[in-house]
Amino acid sequence: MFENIATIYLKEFRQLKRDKLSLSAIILVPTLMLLLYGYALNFDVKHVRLGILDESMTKESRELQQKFFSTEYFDFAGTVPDEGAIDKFIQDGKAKAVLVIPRDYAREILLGRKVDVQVLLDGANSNTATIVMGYVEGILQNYSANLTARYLDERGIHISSAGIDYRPRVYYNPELKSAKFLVPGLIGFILMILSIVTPAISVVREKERGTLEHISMAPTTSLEIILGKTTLYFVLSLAAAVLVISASFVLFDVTIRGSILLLAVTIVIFLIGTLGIGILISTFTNSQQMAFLVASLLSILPTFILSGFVFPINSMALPLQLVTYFLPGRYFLSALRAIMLKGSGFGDIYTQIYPLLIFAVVVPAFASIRLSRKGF
Amino acid sequence: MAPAIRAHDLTKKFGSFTAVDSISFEIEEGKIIGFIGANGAGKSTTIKMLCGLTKPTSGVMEVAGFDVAKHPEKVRENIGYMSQKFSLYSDLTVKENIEFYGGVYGLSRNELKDRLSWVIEVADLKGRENLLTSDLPLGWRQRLALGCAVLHHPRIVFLDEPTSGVDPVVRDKFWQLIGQLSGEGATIIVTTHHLEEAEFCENILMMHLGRIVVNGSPEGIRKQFSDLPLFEIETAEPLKVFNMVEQESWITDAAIYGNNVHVYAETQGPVEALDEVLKKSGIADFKIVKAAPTLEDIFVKETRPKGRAPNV
Repeated sequence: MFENIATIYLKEFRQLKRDKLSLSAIILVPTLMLLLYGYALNFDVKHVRLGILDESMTKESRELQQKFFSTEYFDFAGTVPDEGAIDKFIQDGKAKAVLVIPRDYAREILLGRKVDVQVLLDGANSNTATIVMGYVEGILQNYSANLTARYLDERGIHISSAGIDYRPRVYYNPELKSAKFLVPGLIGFILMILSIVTPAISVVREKERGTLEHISMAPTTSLEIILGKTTLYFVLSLAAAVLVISASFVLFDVTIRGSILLLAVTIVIFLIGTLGIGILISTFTNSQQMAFLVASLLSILPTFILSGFVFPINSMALPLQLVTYFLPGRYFLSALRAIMLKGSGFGDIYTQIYPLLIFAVVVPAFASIRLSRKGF
Repeated sequence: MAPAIRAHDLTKKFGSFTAVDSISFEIEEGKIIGFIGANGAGKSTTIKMLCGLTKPTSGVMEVAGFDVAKHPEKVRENIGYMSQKFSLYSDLTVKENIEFYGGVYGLSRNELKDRLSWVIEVADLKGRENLLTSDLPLGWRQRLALGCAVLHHPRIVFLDEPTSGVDPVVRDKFWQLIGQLSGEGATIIVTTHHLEEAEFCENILMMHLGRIVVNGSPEGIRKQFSDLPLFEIETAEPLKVFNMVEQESWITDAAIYGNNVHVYAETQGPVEALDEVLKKSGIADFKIVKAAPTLEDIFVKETRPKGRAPNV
């Protein structure tokens, strides 16, 4: 039993060693993805270009402008000459937002009256627009409270200690860096590719070439063939996980807060299930293209979209939310984030681990039943 | 001695197509057996069923004394198989391929060492052990594939179209290797559509449309069909003779071989009729001889659809 598995494993290893294309893909894809997602896929909205239409042109209006540009959220994009030019200013991409300060701004402020300030936003990217709106609101509310306090102060009423003092403290990812949130998802994504697509293609390739027929003529069983093959991809997937974790530590300061053992166990359980999916796909398909297509459609795509890698599950339509319960990626990602970012222990995440365990038992069992009945 | 293979009423259907049509045969241990037939005659399907790679629609098979349906693993231990599809890993070296197949066939380290040098020797691969298989010429690859198929000393060796696509020199070398294996006591079953190769077999089974149409030793078959109405006309004007005889409705086939015209007639004893036809057309210089049929003649006759001239 063990020797047969070792024979298959060694053969698979020797083949992979010579297959420069696959080998470089296995190493390059995780690295490239880490760089892409780490640097390019950034949800942090900073340095928004803000145009100014200041009709007031007073000390007070300049103070208001200053409130925006003293933060790292806004950069000065230029002055807009008049109201008619605002549309074009945004359309030409000169600014993402334009702040309009009315002519009577200073007067109204000094009189202690309410004054309207307008902000026009480029809503083409709704996510960014929403975030920018939040910044604007925060800055304006804060400043407006200051103005009120100052106005009352000048009239002998001191309220500086009254009201609510807002002091947020962000847990787990204090700098609110997207990379920290993305890295666990990325690990899941890369493991999906390595553990589903590669073994499926490796088996189907042997079907295509006819070599599988010859191995199955030998006294070696299908189970031994599968174990020999999957062991290699298991090892490779683990290596990729280590690679991504170390690289994200170096590049993005992502550290593992929780237990490394728990992280490893979670990854292993997840891999057993996903390797099973890969093998299962190989029993249904007969060409490498087909195997690749099915493997990507069934695994990578839903994982990318429906597992909470980028898009939060909570904000999906209800039917889609229900679908996510059948995707191992959903549980894996949330377990990984909990362990890596929050430092959660088994007690906190067992509700995520159990479904993964079920996947790890059911899928390989189904694959082996199918194999023993129908062969590859 | 029990036969190496016994098949009874073996049928394989793919949907409405019958690939193998209730064939029965026995194969004696230690012989070289050839399954001869055109592509699609059912040879490969038969072999695949015997190896347990395809399940028959109906029928019973015994290979090496074991029922294939009941004890496929026992059968596998006793057979070697090499198919028309390339069975080696082209991205592994010669040595790695042998090691791999030795491994899956469960050879011990010492056995593997012995067999490795044996294969290298018989496949003429000395000094090429570390070459990638894809870099080997086809003839070497085929000998290596055969070597890999018999690493575990199987009692029965199935070779499915092993010589397709190689030149005659390489083919002869391959058959020498088959002879060597047979000399060591193995039963060898070869499928081929090269009728020349039938002569290397001790027994041949000609298949056509899923049925066995002729079964016997090459000499036995030739003897059985010795009275086929086959004639050779020696003449100085072969083309003229050919054109003449081809017009006769009772001549099913004619072909020119140098100065000879081979004629295949429908009925017995038409020497006189032929004589008459040729004389009438003014050909003076000719000689009609009754010819002994070759295996090809017999195969063509047995596989010819009734009432239509074959396209030879």
